[in-house]
Amino acid sequence: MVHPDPQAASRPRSSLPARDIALLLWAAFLTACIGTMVFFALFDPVLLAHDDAPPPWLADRMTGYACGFFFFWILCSVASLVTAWMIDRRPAQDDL
Amino acid sequence: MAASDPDVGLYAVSQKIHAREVRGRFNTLRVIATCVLLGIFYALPWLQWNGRQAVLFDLPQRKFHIFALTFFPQDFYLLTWMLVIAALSLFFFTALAGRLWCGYACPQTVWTEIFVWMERLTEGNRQQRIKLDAGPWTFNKLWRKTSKQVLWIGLALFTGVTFVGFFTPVRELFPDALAGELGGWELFWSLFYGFATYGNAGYMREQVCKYMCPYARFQGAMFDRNTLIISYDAARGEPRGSRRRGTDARAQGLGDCIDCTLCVQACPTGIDIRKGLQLECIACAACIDACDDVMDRMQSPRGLIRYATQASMEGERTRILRPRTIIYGCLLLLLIAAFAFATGHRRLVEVDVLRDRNALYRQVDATTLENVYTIRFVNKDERAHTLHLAVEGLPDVQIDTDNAAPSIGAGEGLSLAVRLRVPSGSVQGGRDIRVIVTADDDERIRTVAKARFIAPVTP
Repeated sequence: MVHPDPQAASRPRSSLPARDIALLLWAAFLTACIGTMVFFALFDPVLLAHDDAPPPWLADRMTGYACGFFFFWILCSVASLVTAWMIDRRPAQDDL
Repeated sequence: MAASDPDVGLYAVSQKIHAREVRGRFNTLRVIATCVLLGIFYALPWLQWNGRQAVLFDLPQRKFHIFALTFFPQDFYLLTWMLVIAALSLFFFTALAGRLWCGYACPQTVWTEIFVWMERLTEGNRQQRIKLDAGPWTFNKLWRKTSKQVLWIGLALFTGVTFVGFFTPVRELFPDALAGELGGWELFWSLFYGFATYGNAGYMREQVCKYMCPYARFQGAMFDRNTLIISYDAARGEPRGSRRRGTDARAQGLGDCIDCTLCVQACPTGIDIRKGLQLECIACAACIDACDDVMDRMQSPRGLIRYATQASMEGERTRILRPRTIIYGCLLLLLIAAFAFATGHRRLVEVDVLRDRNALYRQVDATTLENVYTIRFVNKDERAHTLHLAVEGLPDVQIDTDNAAPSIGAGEGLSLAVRLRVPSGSVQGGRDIRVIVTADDDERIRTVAKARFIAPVTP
């Protein structure tokens, strides 16, 4: 489909504005909350540490939960950021 | 154009909306809802039940206490279920009466209400606030702004610590907080939640509803012609225009709207409801209160702006019972009933039987063969129980354990090494067995766990 806006083609590439970043972080936050809840309902940070897989300082539950949450948040943010960036930079012929 | 567009820029520096304070039925309703909901939030952690905190999501111990009930990670599906019920209730009430949640119950609305009240207390009413913001930094402005910040930050911190009090015992948390001795994570999450409250209710306000709330984006899908929405009666109001009090508007060719714009000034999201329902409308009904007040003074009937359905606005009858509400309602009832049943019939004692990983079996002596297990018990009941073990599926089995009648306190767990012995040769190869756990003092407690007993194929 041809873009109805004739200026669209010549419009400079937008970088992601701060508001979009905030939105992205917020959506990632919500997803991370759900991820953290499900993950730690199934896995106990203390038991995870039994096999010496995670470092011992993670074996404290509060630290384990918090680090898990931030891990999920960062992970979701990175995925969203890459998605948003790639949509933003999609080659023009995709629109045709 | 761009300069006057309130939506340009970051959340915090967007043009601030100074909503005019209103009085009226719906405002009273919201104030009551605010008091009740915030009262519950701030008071709930302090309630005691059977000598412990009534509502405590004890993350370090991996137990959720909610009054008489204690939930363990195994009950996670109940939590998921509850969230599904919450979501479906939201759909149901949205289909029925629009954004009731947004207008009266959403934490964003409720905390904003309190923060705006504090702003009004320190900076005055709408006119005074606009003047104050536009004016130079005098001592008066500094004093008022500082008092507002002190109130805001104080409430935000209190809110943050209370929030953490749902997860760690609040009666230890508050003295620690006052003494400045909070643990690392407790301090971090208190400040995290406090800052979120401060930012959301103090500065971002309607921006949260407009840009951040996922519900705001999809609630329109639940609406139909019979959904209760805030409606401006254009047929009655238009053409709008100012007139002298006591003159006959109809004779001048005018409708009932006197174009005083109070409905616009009262709107916390800064929209003009007279343009019809908009995505930004959180159905707080502040415009209804504002307009009703004006209609009273103009001696016109109330309800130029009112809660109404599109159908009723077009002269049809509003249908409350319709496929959408019936389906949502039935699903909701079904889920709630099943949830209540599942919660009520939860196994009070959970039993996990784990085989010893090191040895398949052990020949104790010439005549006896043994398998070793670790049995984990979790007592979800409100009181302690002494448990009994029995095994089905093995001939002449002997149960050997250090603690034949383990006693487990309310909400506690226990691991026990158990050795099952059978005469050599009575079992060949693997065999499925059942471990049955009962309690003397309560017939309801009977948990059956499956396990496997292994013996050599040829004795």
